[in-house]
Amino acid sequence: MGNKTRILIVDDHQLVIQGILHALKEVGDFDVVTTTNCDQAFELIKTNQNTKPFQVLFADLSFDNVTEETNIACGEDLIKAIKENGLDIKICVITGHTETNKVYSIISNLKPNAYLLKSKCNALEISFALQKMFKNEYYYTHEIHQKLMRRNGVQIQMDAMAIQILKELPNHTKISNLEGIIVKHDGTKIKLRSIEAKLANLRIDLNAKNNIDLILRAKELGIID
Amino acid sequence: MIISKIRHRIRCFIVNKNFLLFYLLCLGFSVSSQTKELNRNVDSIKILLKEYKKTKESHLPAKAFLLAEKTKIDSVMKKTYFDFGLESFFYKDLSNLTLTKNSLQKVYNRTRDSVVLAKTYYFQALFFKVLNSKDNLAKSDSSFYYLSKSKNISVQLKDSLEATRRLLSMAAMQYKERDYIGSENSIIEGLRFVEPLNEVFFTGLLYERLGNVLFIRGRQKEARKNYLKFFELQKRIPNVKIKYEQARLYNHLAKSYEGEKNYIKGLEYFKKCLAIDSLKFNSLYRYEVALGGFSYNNFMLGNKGIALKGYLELLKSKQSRSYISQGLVVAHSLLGEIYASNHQIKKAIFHTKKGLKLAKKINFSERIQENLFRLSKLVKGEKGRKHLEAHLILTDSLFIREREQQNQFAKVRYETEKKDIENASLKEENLRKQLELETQRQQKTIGWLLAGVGFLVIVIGTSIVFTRRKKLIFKAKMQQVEVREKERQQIAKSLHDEVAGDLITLHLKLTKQEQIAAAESLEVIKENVRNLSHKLSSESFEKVSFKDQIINLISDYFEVNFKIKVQGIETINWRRINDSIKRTLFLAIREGIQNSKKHGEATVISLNFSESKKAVFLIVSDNGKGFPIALKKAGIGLKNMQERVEEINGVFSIESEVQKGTIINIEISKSGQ
Repeated sequence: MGNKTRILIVDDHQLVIQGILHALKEVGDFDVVTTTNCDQAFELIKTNQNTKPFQVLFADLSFDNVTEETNIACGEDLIKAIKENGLDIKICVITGHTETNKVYSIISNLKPNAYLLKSKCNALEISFALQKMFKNEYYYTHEIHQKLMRRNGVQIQMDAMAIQILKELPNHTKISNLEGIIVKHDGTKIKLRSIEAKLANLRIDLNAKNNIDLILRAKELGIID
Repeated sequence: MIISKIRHRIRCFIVNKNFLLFYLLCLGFSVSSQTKELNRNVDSIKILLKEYKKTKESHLPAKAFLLAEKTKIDSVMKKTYFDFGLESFFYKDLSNLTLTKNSLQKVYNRTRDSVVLAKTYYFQALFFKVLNSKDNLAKSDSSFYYLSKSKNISVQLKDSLEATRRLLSMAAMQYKERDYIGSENSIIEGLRFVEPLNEVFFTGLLYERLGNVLFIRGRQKEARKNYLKFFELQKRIPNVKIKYEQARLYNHLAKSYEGEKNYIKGLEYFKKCLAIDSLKFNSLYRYEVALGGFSYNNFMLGNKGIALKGYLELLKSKQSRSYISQGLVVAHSLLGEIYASNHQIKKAIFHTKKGLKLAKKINFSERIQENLFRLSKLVKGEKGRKHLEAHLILTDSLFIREREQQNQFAKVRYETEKKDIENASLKEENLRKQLELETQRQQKTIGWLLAGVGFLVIVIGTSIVFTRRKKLIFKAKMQQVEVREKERQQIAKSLHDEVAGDLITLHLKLTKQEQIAAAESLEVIKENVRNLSHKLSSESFEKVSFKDQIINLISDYFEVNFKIKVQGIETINWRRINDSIKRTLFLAIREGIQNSKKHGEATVISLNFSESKKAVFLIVSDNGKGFPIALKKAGIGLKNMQERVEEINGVFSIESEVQKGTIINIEISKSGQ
């Protein structure tokens, strides 16, 4: 018992909790605690921190059972509280929110270790997410990953310099040839080092392995024609 | 004028330094030419005065006055008026005296200089004096009145010498009109003024006049004392030939003794006077007086021969002059007397008649009286009786006139004093009234100022209230938007958590019961509800910046076949823009994108942001199929968009043409104006 991974699930819908419990049983033998409100979840994490700490938290974002006495009204606030208190726990958001605005807000502000969608996930995905989390990696479910990617694409598309680089890159055999061709909006030339840094960022943003992959992905996303 | 010239020169100098020397020369010339002109004017006034003295031509003063006025220097003007005025008085030039008086009056009106006013009154007095001497009907009290006024001003100005001079004139006038007490008063007042000045000329004249008054009032001893004082003072006047002044003294002393009927002493002094050498040629008048006195005293002492001889000589001397002098009358009268006492009736009647005629001409009442009386004795019968009657009537009338005159002067003196008091009180009242007017005017001005300030306060106040109200309304509207936003959030949450949750439960049940078709359709409903929930929900701009939210929004719709381009979003400092505005813009953009994608079949949509100092602008344009605005009623989405924009005092407009895409223009004021 002592070596079992301790998992805390917090969701206001019992059904969802049961779904996750069911899936977790398939994945492995865990010491799982559940609760339906964030205040209790926070208390549990905090009080067990020094004795039997939870390693993973599965948290919903929206809670419907909020009353006037509730301190922590939603999953976001719970995650924020955990981060502010420096509690060491992997956080997996499991929610129905898919709109980019919400997703972006949570991922960029709270940096959860995983982001799953209730409606799409199954035991396999939960298992995969757990493995990733234990490896200190991030796991965003495919739909979310796609959304973030597209968002990066949109941002790149609004970046005049990035567009220039992406358009010019296929016309040249060497990156160094780009120097003098890429200019700022006021006409000043951009140095090779800056171009290379920009390209590196673009590859990260669009999850591209190399420059050719970058161009392909940009085309795929409609960033360039 | 000179200053403006200098300024002009300086300006020129700044413009062109090379001409500095030239301009300085010009300037110097213009200044020197000004002083030259002034000197020329003053010189020509002097020449005119000399000419006036010589020719007595009455057009000269006016000419001189004109020149004086040209100089625009008050002192020159005043001096010119005084000089010419005095000459006009000597020549009895009435019109020029009036001119002088009027010119002085003008100066006074302009400068309010009391010295000028005193002079003005003086010349007015001189005018009446001349008028009086020309026409005996005119009373001397007018002249006396103005002299008195002039004197009072001089007294107030503490100009003792001027006051003394006026008093001297007044005393002389009173003396002439036999108001001896009045005259004495005037002299004593004059002496009081003049004595502290240590002045000799006018003081002397005052003592002499005092002597005369005392002489006539029979106080001979005192009269002689004053005459001696007069003489002592005369000695101290430089450039005076004292021997002729001594003749004057002897005459006075002799007359005084004569008045005491001490004819021997009188004769003695007259002799002394006559003994002064070349008196006849240098001071004929004094010689004649002495001769007359000598003869009279001899006559009184019974030396009729000497008296007769003296009078005949006197008569001859007097007759050589063109005008009738009192002396001439006296000579004729005394000759009549002498002849009468010698029983040379014919000669007596001749001289008496002559004396009477001349006396009448110059209005010498005592001699008329005397001659009439003598004539009545000389001529027998009816004629003599008539002469006596005339004499009696004249005596009576003279007595009455004398009394009247004295009363008159007393009255004038009293009235001038009274008037002065009245004037003073009037002046005070005027001053008070002026002060009152001034305070009223000030109060009026203050009133206007207060009214103006009040008006301004009201205007500013109302404008402040107005703008504040506007701001409050704007704020309230913004709050309204926020409240609605919260409501939307709550609805979104309910939809998401309750409806969607229940649907999941139902879905799970259906799947368990293996009702696949129903479960699938429920899946669609679930998806729709979630989308609706997402649509309603929003992120706060504090958590996620406006720009990031727009990027997120675009990400949700961006496709290879539906590109969304953004321009100018970085140029705006969104942190400083009200959240409600940002929310409205966000929703408008989403509506615009949805419309273009769903209905417009556009492939490119562009969002163009810009801002001015006061407003934010957004243009959403697409290349979709567009729609005829006139025909199509705005859809609910567009309508909502417009309402939202207009709610926060924004301007919303839409342009669309079939096949030419759609352009939406939004302008929202940053502060609600």
